[in-house]
Order: sequence, then structure tokens, then C-alpha cells
Amino acid sequence: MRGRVRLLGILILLVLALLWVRAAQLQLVEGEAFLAASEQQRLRVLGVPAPRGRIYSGDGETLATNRPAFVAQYLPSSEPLSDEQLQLLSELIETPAQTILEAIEKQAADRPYAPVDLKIDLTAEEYTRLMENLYQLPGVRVEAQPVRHYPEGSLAAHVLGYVLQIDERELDTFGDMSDRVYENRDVVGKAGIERTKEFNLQGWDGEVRAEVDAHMRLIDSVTGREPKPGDNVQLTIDSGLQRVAEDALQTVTDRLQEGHNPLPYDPETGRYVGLWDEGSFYPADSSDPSRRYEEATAGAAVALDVQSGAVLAMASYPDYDPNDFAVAPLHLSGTEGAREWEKAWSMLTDPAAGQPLLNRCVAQISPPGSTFKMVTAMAVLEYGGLSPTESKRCAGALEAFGQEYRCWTTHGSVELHRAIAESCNVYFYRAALSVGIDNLSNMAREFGFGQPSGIEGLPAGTESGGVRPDSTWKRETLGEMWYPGETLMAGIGQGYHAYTPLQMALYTSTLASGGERVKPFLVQRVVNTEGDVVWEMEPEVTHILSASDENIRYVQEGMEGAMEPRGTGYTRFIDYPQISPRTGDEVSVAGKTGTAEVGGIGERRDNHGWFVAYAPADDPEIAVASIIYHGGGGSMAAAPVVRAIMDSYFEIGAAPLPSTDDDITAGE
Amino acid sequence: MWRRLLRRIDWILIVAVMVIMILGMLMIAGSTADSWRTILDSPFVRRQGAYGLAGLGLMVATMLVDYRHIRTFSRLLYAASLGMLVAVLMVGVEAGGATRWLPVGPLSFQPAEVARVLVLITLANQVCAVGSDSKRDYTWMDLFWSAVHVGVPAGLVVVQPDLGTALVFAAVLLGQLYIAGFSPWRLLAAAWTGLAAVVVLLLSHVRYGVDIPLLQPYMVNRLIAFVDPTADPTGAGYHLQQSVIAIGSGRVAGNGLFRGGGAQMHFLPEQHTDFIFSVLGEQLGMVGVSILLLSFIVVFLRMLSIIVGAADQYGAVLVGGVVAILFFRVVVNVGMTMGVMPITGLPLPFVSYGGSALMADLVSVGLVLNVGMRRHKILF
Repeated sequence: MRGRVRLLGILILLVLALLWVRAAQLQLVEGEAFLAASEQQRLRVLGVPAPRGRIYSGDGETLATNRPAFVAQYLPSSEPLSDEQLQLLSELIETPAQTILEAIEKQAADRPYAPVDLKIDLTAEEYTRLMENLYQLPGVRVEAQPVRHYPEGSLAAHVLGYVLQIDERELDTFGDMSDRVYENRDVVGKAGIERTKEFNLQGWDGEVRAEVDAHMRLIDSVTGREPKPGDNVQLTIDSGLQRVAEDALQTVTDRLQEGHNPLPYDPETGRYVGLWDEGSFYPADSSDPSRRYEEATAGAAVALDVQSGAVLAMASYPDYDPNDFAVAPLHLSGTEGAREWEKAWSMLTDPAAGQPLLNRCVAQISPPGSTFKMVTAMAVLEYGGLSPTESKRCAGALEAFGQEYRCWTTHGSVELHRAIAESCNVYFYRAALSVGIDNLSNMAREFGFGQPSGIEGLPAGTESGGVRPDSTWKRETLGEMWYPGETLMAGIGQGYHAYTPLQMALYTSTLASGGERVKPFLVQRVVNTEGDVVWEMEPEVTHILSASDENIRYVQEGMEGAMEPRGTGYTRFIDYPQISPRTGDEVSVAGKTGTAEVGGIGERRDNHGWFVAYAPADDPEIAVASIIYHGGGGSMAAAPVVRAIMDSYFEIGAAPLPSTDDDITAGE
Repeated sequence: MWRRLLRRIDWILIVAVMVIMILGMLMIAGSTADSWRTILDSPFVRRQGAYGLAGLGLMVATMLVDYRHIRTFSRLLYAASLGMLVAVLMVGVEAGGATRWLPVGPLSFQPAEVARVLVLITLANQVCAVGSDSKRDYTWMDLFWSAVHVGVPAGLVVVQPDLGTALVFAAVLLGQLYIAGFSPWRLLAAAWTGLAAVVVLLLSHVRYGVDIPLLQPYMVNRLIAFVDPTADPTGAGYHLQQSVIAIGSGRVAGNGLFRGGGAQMHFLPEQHTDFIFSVLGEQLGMVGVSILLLSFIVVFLRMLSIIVGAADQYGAVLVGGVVAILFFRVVVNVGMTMGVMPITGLPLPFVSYGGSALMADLVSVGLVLNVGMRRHKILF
């Protein structure tokens, strides 16, 4: 045994010694030659990034695609630049020579083999100049890097989201969530569709084993694997409708801030007419065309297809241009470019800057004001046994619990139809009191309030469920009992209620369809590069309202009444019903204004203006909700946005907004 | 009893293995990260660290149970290894053209790596059963049945296809029979016959286009590339050429960790697994290579002394199998990267990235330590 083991030991020592000799031969004897060979490598494996899949609107317009960004690079392994060459390079790419030298030195310490980025995203002019002079600049090359491109700029920015370099947490989780291998510098979707459909949009990178010259320019690619582009995503968004909604939000907020208020226009008389809604209740009369609404800087609008739940438009203002940071991932962390980018980014996320990244349609909750009155109406019809013809007295206010609850005007004797059409607070105070807060809350739940809609296409967690108060909620959240006076405020959509514009649109759509609550969706289908549909949305009814068709019909009629003479939305749609050139049918609108008081006691801020509507009233196709934050009355601030969307959807010629003070005074 | 066992743990062996493992972690960092700052960004470094700790835990666990007790489960262990290898062929996960991974819940492992440890235990059992029933000498029939014992699992591994790991089984067979007392001349004759068969097959394939059963075309290409590495600079020969350049460019002290074109510019294929020795040569030079080879010499010499002092033949044969497994893979892997062995896709023990192999090797070390702790005689 000992003999055998000794023999084995000698064998092992001998073989390992031979391996050591071989290593010594390679490293000691031929080491210098191999070092030279290593430095003169001509063959290398280059990754070929796969193009990210494109995103199309429902009508086929390209909303997100890719473009090449040209990057001037320097290869640290080449000859150092002479002073003249440095000077020339500095002029060509309009970058100080000092900055170029610092970039090269800094990176030489950290990543000695990687090319140094001198300037990212050259302009066309810089690119041409540099290419013409490249022969004078050994070690400098121009690389084309794919960059996400949004041809329509900020259009539907909140829906599309944006892309950035993958972060630590995503690097850990994305691999498990998909069948892809994610690497450190991959560019991934961070918000919106770019994030939700990341695993479809992200392609499979290719590889070439390439022969390159001393300037790392490709001479010949030897073998390789083709990159496979990501799948294309088709949205439900109608680009025309989306553009109209975004433009309207911007125009209306601009004008409100400037005091060129968007008053309605009557084509028959050729005059701009005053407004008549809850907004005129407040001391600053919203019919005053020069009243400045300085806080009216933000708004949102959502348009849904009533039948399917497809989102036709989803606009949030202020918005951003995702192209602004599409080149950000090209900057190496720690470089000057990366720092500049980080500064720009912190501005975008600063609340003081108006939070342009926020998708208010799903993430910002606000009290719905009078647009909530249809819930109270449904509750009192279903649970309170109120007859729609039973009338209640409105003397301009209701005395209850030792306090005075006011209406915006004196309606006299009102029944359900007028109460909705003319937005009588006193009627709904009484109605809410008679059914109680828990019934009210229950009816609100039927419409989807208090829970996220589960919209298909936005990343989990971006959507708020809102606040749907009842006695249990108050006890659990605030630790207090529910006061009867709060029921009155809840009945007119004030108090604790707070919902998203998407929830308001879905609620309007549910009323329009006669009680079918659908699942809203932004993505129609996902198609791979071969043209095969890999995913297709199947519209889904998530809940059927437990209410009688009859009662829903009463409420719908109230909303139609709001668009008729004396209705709070009338002046905005004064020229409706109109014949739609697209469908050839007469289109009338049903809707409801809302003017939501905001701010605490002693704090006077301008109200939020809401407007919700659907059309055609007799066979609803589209439901729209819009809000202008701190924009005053609903029919002045939000209704023009809804009107613009309806006009565009039915291809009805829009009534122009007055463009100057002169227009307005001429109309008065 | 426990105190005596504890005193008899071979700490030198453990330290030598740890030195090799630390060298391995450094090289995985050197091939998958680009600076000290970004070391922990590399998922390979993080995972290998976790595998290493888990493996050390398994090693300690293996030491706790007397190896003679483990031996009694031989039938069960053999059945388990065959079961795993059949399962991976049926429900395994395919990656890179081979089916080597068996998913278990959220994790997955390579059954071939586990099987080679289990077969180590079961083959030793069979070999020693022959030797102990009478004092008779080993016969050709014993060689035959032992060859069948490893041949079945090895065959299942070949069809995955994983030629390299299948050859490891042959190494176990040779190593254990040699320690058990089988005639070395007969072993040599058998090994030569096997090798000659392969060469004849290869030649007939190259010259006359005869199909080689079981071997995939890429394996044949790799064997041919061994003969003439420059024949196809972008195919199999390319790997070899790049590896030799990388090692050579390291010279005495190496280019430094994270430095050197081979690993950092991705000239080297599979730089953190099969070709990690090339990264070692490139980045740490002759110094690094010498530390690694010396550590392996220490490991082997300690194991051989445990064989000599083993309480029974079974213990000696068991350790003999471990020595064979490790030695074969070190020689084939290191030799492959320097162009003196064919490219077979065998990882370097304790160094290459890979959880299944690392844990299997640490369990094997645990078996060796187990035998060493329970020896009769005092060594040296």
C-alpha cells in the first residue's frame, strides 16, 4: 500500500511540475511575445445591442422607436494625442481640451481597456466635421449607439413612460421575472408601458466576432449571432384624441393663469356667454373673464371606450419629453455628463417644479365635488326608496346639526332630474342624510371607487385606489367616530372623498353602459417581429352594478338634463346635439360638472374644476373625465377639455376659444 | 471521542483548500468585474461566495457521520445518482445545447456533479467488497463489473452531452482500483486500450468520415483542435489561442487584477468557468500560477498521507477516488488552457465559477477529512 501511494505521489508531483514548466515556458520564456500578441489583438467579440421593440398608437402612429446616437470615443490603448491633435479634436466636438484630457485620465485609472466617451450624442454638424477629420486623429472613433426615440415628443409621455439604465434592484429581479439575462449597463423601461411591457420590448442582443483595425474600426465581421429585436406593442390610445386632450389641458391652464378665461361661445349669437354652475357660487365669480387662476398649472383627462374599456386618451399636464433623458444611459456614472443628467432629473422630480413625471390620471387623488352626485342619486334610489319624482325644497341652504350647509343658488322645489341637471346641493344633502354614509359608500364601491381599477398597461403600484370614506374607514384610519354632518358633505362629493381621474372616467363609463364596469386597458396587443400576435387584450367586465336599469336610466336622464338649458353644462355644449360627420348620427352629450372645494379651514385656494361626460347620450361610445386643478368652476375650466375631446372624437368642428381680451370684451 | 476526532482534523488540508478557493474568488472577480469597487456588482462573485459558504457547511456535515456508516447506504446512493441522471435527461433545463441542469424549486443543480461524489462512495464499496470476502486477488472480471458500475452513470452523462464529466468517472475507476490493490499493469493496459479506441475512432472520423457514436460534432471538433489549434482561428482553436496568449502575457507578476485584455476585453471564452486558469495566468502571472499549483500539491500530499493512515481499505479507496477526481480535473483543465490537453469543458476544482461543482468538491474533501479523523495510526 505504502509503495503504491508513494508511486502515485511521485506521479502527481511530476505531472504538476510539468504543468508548471509549461506555464514558465509561456510566461517567462515567451511572455514578452505573448504580451505583444495580446496588445495587437485584431479579433474581438462585440455585443450587438438588439433594437427595443416599437410602441404604436391604436391608429398606427409610431410613439416610441429607436435612433442612433453618435458618440465620439477615444481608445486608451492607442498613441497619446499630440497637442495639435487635441486642439483639433476640441474644436471639432466643441469640448474644452482640458475636459477631454481629464476624461481620458480619469478613466485610465478605473477601466484601462474601455473606450473613453468624449462626447455623447453628437449633433449632425459635429458628426460630419469629425468624420471628415478622423484620419488625423488616431485613437479617436465614432460609435453609433441605439437610443430610445419618441417621434411625437411629449405625446402620451405618461402612458409610454421612459427608459433608463438598469439599477441594482432590477438587476437582481429582472432575470428571474423573464427568460433574459440582464447585464449591468442594459437600458430598461422604468415607467408606463416601457416598464410594463419591458420583457416584450427588450430584444435579444446579438454578437459578432469581429476583426478590427488599430482604431477599433470594424474591418470584417467573422461569425456571429443576429440580434433579435423586441416585440412591438400596440396601444389603445388614439393619437389624434390624445393630442387634442393634451393641447386642451395646456391651453386651458395657460389661459386660466393669465386671466384670459375660456368662456363658452354661442355660434348662433356669435357671443361668448357667461357661465352658470357651482363655480359662480364663490366670491370670485367665474364669469369674470379676467380673474386670474394662478394655481391652475395642472390638469388631467381620461377618455374610455364605454363598451370595451380601451383607454382612448390619457393626458396629464404638466408633461415631459421622454427624449430629454433618452441619452442619459449612455453616460458612464461618475462622469460630468452623468452629473448634469442627475441634476436635470432631480428638477423633474421636484414637487416645486410641478411634478411633470407624475401621471395624475392614476396617481393623484382629489375630491370629486358635484360629479359624485350620481352616486348619491343611485344610493338614494336603490337603498333609500326615494321616488325620482319626489321633490325637495332648496332655499339656498340647509340648516342641520347647528350648522348651515349651503347651495350655490336657490333652486326652490327640485326633483331628481333637476337636482342633477342643476347640481342642487340641498337635494343631495337630504338624500345623503336619508340613506346614511355606509349605504353611500357601498354604492360608491359598486362604481369602483376606493380600489384601483386594475388598468392593464401601467406598472403595479402606480395606480391609487382613492379614499372612499365610511364610518368604519374613519374609525380605523383616523380613530374617530363619524359625524352626521360629514354625511352631508360626502353626499356632494366633498369631505374625505378623493379619487383619480381614471376612476371618474370609469364611473362615468359604468353609468353610460347601464351598469357594466369594465377593466380599463392601454395595451391592445403585442406583436413579435415575425408578425405573430404574442399577446392580445381580451376586454373584461369586472363588475355588474347591482342596481335596477330603471334607476340607472333616471340618473342618465339627469346627466342629459345638465346639457340642456338651465343645466350646469349647457353653455359649454350650447351647439349640441350636432350631426357627427364621422358616424352621420346626431350626437348629444350627457354629463355633469363638479367644483370641488380644496384646502383646509382658513385657507382660500381656488377650487378644482371637474367635468365628466359620455356621448352619444342614446348609445354611448365614449366616456370622458377631466379635471383642472385649482382652475375654478367645472364648466369653465374642465368642460372645454371634455368638449375638445368630444368634438375630435365625433369629428365635429370645434367652437373656437377666444384668443385675446378683445374677443372676450366684444362678446360680453 | 469527539474531542479526539476534532484533534485529528487535517487543518493543513483545509487551509490549502481555502487558499485555492480564495484565489478562485479573486479570479472570478477579475473576470467578471472591472475594479475593486465593482466587485460586488458581479452576480458571479456574490453567488460563488454563497456557494462556497454553503459548501463549507456541507463539508462539515459530511465529516460528522462516520464514513463506514455512510457506506451502508451504498445501494440507495447508487439508485439516487442514476435516478437524478435519468431525471435530468427527461425534465432537465437545456442551456447552451446541453441538458445539465435539474430544477429543484427556485434553484437548480447539475446532477452529474452530485453523481460523481455518490459514485465515489458506491464504487469504493463494490471494490472493497471483492477484496475483503477472501484474500483472493482481483481479476479481469472485477475490473469489468467495476467498469459497469461507473459506466452506467457515465453513459448517462455522455448523452447530456457532457464528455468531460463522463471521463471523470473513468478517473475514479482507475484511482480506486489502483489504491485497492488491482494490478497497475492491468490498469495501464486497460487505460491504453480505451485511449487507443478513442484515437482510432477520431482518426477514422477525420480520414474516412466515420461517425463517432455518442460524441457530438462540437466535441470531435475540440479534439481535432487540440491537434492543430491554428487550423480554425475562430472556431474551437480560437479559444485555445486566446487562452495561451492570455497566460503568456501575464509573465512573472501578471498584469494585475482586473487588468489584461483577455478577460477584460472578452477575448477569452467562458473566462470565469472553464478558462479561469487563463485569467489567473494573465492577471496574476507566474506568481499566481505557482501559488495555485503549490496549494494543489499540498492538497494531494495530505490526501495521500490520509490514504496511508486510513483505518480500513474502504477508507483508503474512498480517498483514492477523491484524489483521482481532483487530480484528473486539475491536469485536464490546466493542461487544456495551456494547449497540452484537449478542450473538454471541465472546470478547475475550487476555482471555476459553479455552485454544483464547488459544493460537490467540498463534500469530497469532507469525506477525506472524515477518513482522516477516524484513522488508527498516528501519522508521521
